[in-house]
Amino acid sequence: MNEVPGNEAALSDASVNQNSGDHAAADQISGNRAPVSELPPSAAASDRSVTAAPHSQASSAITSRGALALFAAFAAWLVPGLGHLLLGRWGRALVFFCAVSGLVVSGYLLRGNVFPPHSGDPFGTLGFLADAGTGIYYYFSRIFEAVGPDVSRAAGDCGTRFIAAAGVVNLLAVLDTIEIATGRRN
Amino acid sequence: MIYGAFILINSALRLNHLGAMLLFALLVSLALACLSQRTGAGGVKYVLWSFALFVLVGLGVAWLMYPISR
Repeated sequence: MNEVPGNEAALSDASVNQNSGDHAAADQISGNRAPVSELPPSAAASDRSVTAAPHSQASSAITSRGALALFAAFAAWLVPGLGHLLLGRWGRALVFFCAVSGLVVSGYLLRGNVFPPHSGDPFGTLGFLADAGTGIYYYFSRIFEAVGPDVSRAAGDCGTRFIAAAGVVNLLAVLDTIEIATGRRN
Repeated sequence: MIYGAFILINSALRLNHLGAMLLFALLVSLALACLSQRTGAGGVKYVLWSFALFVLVGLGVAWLMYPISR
């Protein structure tokens, strides 16, 4: 192939391009940058400021992000959808609010059981943890269910599952809020 | 006022077993689709698929348990 006149130049050009491409790719992977002397003055200055940035700024950014995640998680637990609302996710906030509220209110309408904090048996404790996941609705249960639960009927038993499912869905929404706030999820 | 609204909804919405199951399937499917981060047509497809599976599995389990209830 190289015996054909004119092919050498083409081949050498190709190898040069390939090499330069490889260097560019390697730079991208390793994060190498052009030397500061080759950069325009403003870019060089900003580069110097970035490299000379104090370590405390990065740690304070991480701390503030963690604080935001905690606050959003608490808000998401207290009022379903509020955590996503604080993070600017309107659509998700609406869906979670409607889903959790619909499940809880249906559970109350069906006269489902709301587990107290100290039930004395492991299943009761699990039920309490699930019910407590509904946040503020857990404290509204005494208002909504003024006549008390009725699990002697099948509908009441369904209502118990509705309320527990609402709590679990809200806890999943809380985890989703934390992941969004910490930047692990879009 | 909240309790009054609750009583009003309670009287307007009489949930039977099938209605409760359909409502549960719909609401949980919506929440799961939102958690799965699917948007647009993918999200709608996920909701429909999840809803259909909830209903079909629920009806299947109900038929399986029917002889025990008698």
